Amino acid sequence: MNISIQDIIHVFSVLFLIYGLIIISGYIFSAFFSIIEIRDYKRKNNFQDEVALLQSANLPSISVLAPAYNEEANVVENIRSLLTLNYPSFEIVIINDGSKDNSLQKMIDTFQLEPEELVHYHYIPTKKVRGIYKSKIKAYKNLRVIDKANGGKADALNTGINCCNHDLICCIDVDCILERNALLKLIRPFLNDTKRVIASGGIIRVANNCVIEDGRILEVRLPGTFIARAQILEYFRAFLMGRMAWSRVDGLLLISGAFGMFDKKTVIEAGGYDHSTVGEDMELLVRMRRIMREQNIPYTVGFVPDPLCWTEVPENKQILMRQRNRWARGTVETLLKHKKMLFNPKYGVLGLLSTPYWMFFEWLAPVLEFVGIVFFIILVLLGQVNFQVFAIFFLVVYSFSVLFSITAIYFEEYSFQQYKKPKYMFQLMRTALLEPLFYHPIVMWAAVKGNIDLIRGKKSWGQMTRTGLGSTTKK
Amino acid sequence: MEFNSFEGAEHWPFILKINLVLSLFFLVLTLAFVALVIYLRIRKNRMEAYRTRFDRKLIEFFNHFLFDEDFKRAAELGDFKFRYLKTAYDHKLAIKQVLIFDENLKGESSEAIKELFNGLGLYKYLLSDLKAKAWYRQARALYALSKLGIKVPEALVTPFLHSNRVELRQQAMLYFLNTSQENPLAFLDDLDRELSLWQQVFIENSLINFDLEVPDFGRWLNHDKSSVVVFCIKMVVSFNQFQNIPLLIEALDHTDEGVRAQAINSLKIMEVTDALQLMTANFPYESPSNKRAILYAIEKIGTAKDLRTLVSAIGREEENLQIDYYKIATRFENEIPVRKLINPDNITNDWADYQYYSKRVLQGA
Repeated sequence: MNISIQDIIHVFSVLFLIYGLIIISGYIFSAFFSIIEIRDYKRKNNFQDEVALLQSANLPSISVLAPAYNEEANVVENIRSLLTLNYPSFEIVIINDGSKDNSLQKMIDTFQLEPEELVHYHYIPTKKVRGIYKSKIKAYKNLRVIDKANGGKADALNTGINCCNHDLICCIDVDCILERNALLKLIRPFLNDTKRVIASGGIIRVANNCVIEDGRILEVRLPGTFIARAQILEYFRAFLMGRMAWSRVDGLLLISGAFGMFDKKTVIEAGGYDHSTVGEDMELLVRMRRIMREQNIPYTVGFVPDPLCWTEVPENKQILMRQRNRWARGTVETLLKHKKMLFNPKYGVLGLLSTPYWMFFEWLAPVLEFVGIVFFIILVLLGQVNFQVFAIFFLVVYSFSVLFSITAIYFEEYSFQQYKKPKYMFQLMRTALLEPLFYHPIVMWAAVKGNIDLIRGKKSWGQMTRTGLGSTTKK
Repeated sequence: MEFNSFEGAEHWPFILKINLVLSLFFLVLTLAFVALVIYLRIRKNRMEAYRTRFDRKLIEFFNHFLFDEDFKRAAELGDFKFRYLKTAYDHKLAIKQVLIFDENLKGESSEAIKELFNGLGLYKYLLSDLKAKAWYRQARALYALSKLGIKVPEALVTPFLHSNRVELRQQAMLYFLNTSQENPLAFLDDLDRELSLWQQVFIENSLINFDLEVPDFGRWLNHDKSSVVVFCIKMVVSFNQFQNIPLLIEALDHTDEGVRAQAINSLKIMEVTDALQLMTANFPYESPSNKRAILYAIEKIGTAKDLRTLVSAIGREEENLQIDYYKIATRFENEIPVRKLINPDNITNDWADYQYYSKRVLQGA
């Protein structure tokens, strides 16, 4: 049997085409379910508010866990902001993860902290706790600071779980900006369902260039750099389209590490955060869901589409690549750890839809895209490319990418319309036109690099330098 | 190849034609979404401007209606309704303003607001919403009616108590709660589903603002839905219904773990020391979280002796309970020298010795 280069090219072309069609169908699926979910959410919430809830002493108490590592510059301001959250009963637990800077001393001085007796639970093994501090001042009575040996974010969160007092935990990044009613909104899935709710997550928004005062967003602005604006589109697509859709079919696999609420008992039963992966947030939720499913316990995961948490995204190409490299490694590590779930009907939506989606769309998409580019280059070198054909194939991919981003902008406009100025809307549309050409290749390469690094055994997070929201945009 | 120029497009392979058609389709869709975004923005801005103008008109009219004695109410109502209340949006805005006024005004004005509400035809509008098929219109109507305390034929609302949509069930409960004159929680008798925490919070909130006598929650402490029992135990505490304490003590033997947990916490808050005997007797058979709750109840209302009696019931492997015990025992440090006897870092190893020590103390050795 003779197989010519033409035959191989043809087979590859068809495979790429089929893959493209699967991707497109996935996006259409997520857009369809998201719009239904957003519409329902708006309908459910357009006539009542949560303020009444604030009066109730019967709301479950929440422990807000915020790991801090070398956050000297902003930690005090961030804690002050957290202390003003609207919720009847909560504690803030800051876990100083062996910071090398002056974070701990700064907290001790500002909040007049004094050491408590070092007695805590040992639900999950962690690095050594060096001290637990409480404030002498009544106004800060719900603040606790735990000082521990450095062990990474997952270890810090596990320490927080061991030391906190309440049954619901809200894990956040200490440098995030939370809306005042964030806890009231995020707890709603826990209150509203008669099934056991194991976790709930909210939408993360980009805070770069926004006007911030006293740890609150006063005015939402579009960032000045293209990289940050492109990430806004990415966040729209990921949260308003992706996670909303997965929430609709109860197939969410990820609650952002920047802001998520969990049932402590389930987290402990699952063994807490896994510090052997760089994608500890995704891995924890997948493990919790897997355990619930294996034990046949009816449960659900909630998702609140309100913009509740604002974060600073990288505006520097290198830092962005490090972040995406880590995300890619975290995804692959999680999928490999839970490969038993893939295509397994025993896990329902998770096994038949969510994990295959993550495998094809989040893990393999950039890899195949990269292989496709290499394949294209080989064809060019072999003189096998008809550039008109290429132009048509490119056009279909490009036009779909732009369509998907514009749809995401429409979803934002339909739901929360955070970017009030019309010029922002047009800037975002322009970004949608340029993003597939100038931004997407960067994140694709970072993801491919993440896969390579994983094969090489790289385990570190990579340094994430932030400009700091407080310093650049504070009013 | 035949497809090396666009002029010969009719000879292109199928796959290329499909791609070209898809590109054009995506392009058209993109333009459509751009147009939709712009349309939405313009529409939202216009609606916002209209709402501001209309709200101003409504507020001005309502103020005249409520506080201007020379105002010809009947005539002006008809005129306003005829001139301004034309669309569903106008009606929604009017209802919203009525709710705001009702929230802020009490007494005589409250009656005038109801007159205003009826005169503007808003009652009829809400009735049509109640009869509509869309659940969100029904829920919105129930919300407005319950907030304003306006009654509609009961047969229209009762079915919503058994609706599949949690929002409708919740609003129907609030409706009965806010419009009932005698027994606001009568609907609990007919409840065939568990109460969510959210519903419990809203019912509690309505009860706090309730003008009439709060019902005796003891009536539902034997309800077959455990969430109703849990809610009623909480309310016994919130409304200081001390006459129900014997029922709360009975609830310590309830079959549902959650009910027992709530009973332990409530008896702790109400400082019912009589309940300690049963709590300590039940301790060895309780779930870990209820054991913990009993320990903290003893911390608040018990004695060092009560605490000591539990030491033998805390197993060597129950490290977290031992830590709870340690924390609580430090509060009784004069009687229980726990800091001297136990090293919290190594608590499970010290526990057997500590159990022996406690036993001896209890025996008076």
